[in-house]
Amino acid sequence: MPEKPSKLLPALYGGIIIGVIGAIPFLNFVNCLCCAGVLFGGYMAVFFYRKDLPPALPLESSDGIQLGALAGLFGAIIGLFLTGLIYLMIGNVAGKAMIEMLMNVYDSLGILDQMPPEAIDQMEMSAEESPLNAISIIGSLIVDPLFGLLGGLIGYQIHKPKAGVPPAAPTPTAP
Amino acid sequence: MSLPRLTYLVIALGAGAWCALLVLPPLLAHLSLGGAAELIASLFRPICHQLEERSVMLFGYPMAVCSRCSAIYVAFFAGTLLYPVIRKVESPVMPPRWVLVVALVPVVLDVLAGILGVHAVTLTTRLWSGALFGLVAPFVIIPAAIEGIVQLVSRSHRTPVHQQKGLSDA
Repeated sequence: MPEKPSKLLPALYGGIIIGVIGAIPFLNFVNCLCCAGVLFGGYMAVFFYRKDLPPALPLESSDGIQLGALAGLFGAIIGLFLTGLIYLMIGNVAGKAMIEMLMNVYDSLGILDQMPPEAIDQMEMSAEESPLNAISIIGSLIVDPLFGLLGGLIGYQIHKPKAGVPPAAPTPTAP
Repeated sequence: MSLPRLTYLVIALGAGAWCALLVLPPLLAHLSLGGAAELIASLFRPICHQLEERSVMLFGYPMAVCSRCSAIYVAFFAGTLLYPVIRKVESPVMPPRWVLVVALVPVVLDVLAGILGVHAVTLTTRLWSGALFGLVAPFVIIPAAIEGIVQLVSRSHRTPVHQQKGLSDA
């Protein structure tokens, strides 16, 4: 019986996807839809693993759990590292753009003039702040493995062997 | 308690706790505990835009996540509570793979329509499209999670036997 391939590399690929999506300004808005980027990374980890899996071995739901959670953990670490790096290089561009967009909305609604100047100053200051802080680090290390796991389970549901189709018999090796 | 039931209970409690966290910021703000409300809301900042005009308001304050995310999470919790009524927890049945894709279509269409300006994305469309996906998701995720946990636990029970075999082989 052939052994199952290592889960480390497919999970790392999934983690890189999660980290890149989560760190690149504007692309990380994808995560605003229920961590879609993290779910996608967990799914992709299962997809890559499925490609390495010998036909004789079926994909199991425990594989989806392990791959998704591991991809989420890798993704959190890679994402935090990349977020810090990008902030050092170009600052919080997405934060500034978000505040600018909000100001435009408030201006078009005619409520910008009524806002206290301290509130506007605080909003502008928050746009300058680093997106990395204790809460975002702890949050990423909890949320990413959790949503990665869900992505892994979704990946399993999509790539699971069809019901009633037995896995291919292992090819006999020459004596 | 059997392992499938325990797994289901953990998922249900987790989903319930997650939904409680969504409601806490407006509740705490209403009770004049703004600092605690801000702290909990900031936990959800990396996973939601939290735009006030796109959020459900409770006691005059926005929930921790936007209306679409709120609908998905609350419906997920509702679907989790419904799960044992519709399916047997002890013998997980996997739904066809197209079920989740079909449930995801309204969300994707709503988001795309909003971006392209095809139709006005309202609170109602956000809530209904999100709720449909959230309600279906537990029926895909819970059986896979139960099956996976049972596999992992039974495998970990088998490990000492393998180790013993390895030792005797040596």
